[in-house]
Amino acid sequence: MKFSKDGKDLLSEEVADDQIEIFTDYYDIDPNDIEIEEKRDAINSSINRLKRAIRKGQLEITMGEDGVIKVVQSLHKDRETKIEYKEVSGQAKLEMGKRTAMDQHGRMYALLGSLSGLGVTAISKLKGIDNSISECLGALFLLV
Amino acid sequence: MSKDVAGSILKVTLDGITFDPFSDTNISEVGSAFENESVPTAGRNMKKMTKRAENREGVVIAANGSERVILRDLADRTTDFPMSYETAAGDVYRTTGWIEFENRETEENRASIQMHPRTKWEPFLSS
Repeated sequence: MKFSKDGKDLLSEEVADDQIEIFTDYYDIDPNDIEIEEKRDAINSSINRLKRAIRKGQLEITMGEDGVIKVVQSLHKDRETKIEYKEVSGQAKLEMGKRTAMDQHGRMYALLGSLSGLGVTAISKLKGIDNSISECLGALFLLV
Repeated sequence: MSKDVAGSILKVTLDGITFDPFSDTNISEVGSAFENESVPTAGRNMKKMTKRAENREGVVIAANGSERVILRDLADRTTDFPMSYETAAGDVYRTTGWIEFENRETEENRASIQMHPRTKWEPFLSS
């Protein structure tokens, strides 16, 4: 996956919209179902951030040949290292249970760590753009 | 650049499930993708490179009854799954592959496993 150069996006808005739709359709989630306005706005903000990432080639959401969703983040630092987040499962959510209810960020990172197979520490070490993208993904994964 | 820190393995993650390694766990990392030998001739030596699996051995993790069941199920799978471990320096190594669940010793709930990569390990080095 190439990254955008010279500030120009690699992919169109339509492609980004389609890929986000793959995610929302697969998990049957609709941000409009969120009753709390602040939270709904935060989710929509995350979605917009992810659309930008898709257009820049930093994120890709597709359906695998086996019919299972594939979410792949390409790290900005070397543009070759990829993190693949597998389908959300109960086991991944159990990892969140190892954190207290007040530790929202810890719970998000536990979920991301489990879905990526990297563990919470590696995910929490992501910086800058990579951290931003992973947290936006985490916000959506938490809706599942 | 990685830090000059050695010591305990901090975390082992198998298919997204975290396990606690014992503090004295000493993982043996196969050095490289090839085993190198010398084949002498009457003149120069030939370098003989034999491909080998970059397994991780000596992985000892705490496993209660439930975790033992999980480990058995993971070991019995026919499909690969993601694995990773974190060193004391904060370096994380990840791959996709399978495990060999050697045994569990009930006196201290010590479960010994080996981690076998399908291809190779990828480092996420601390900085």
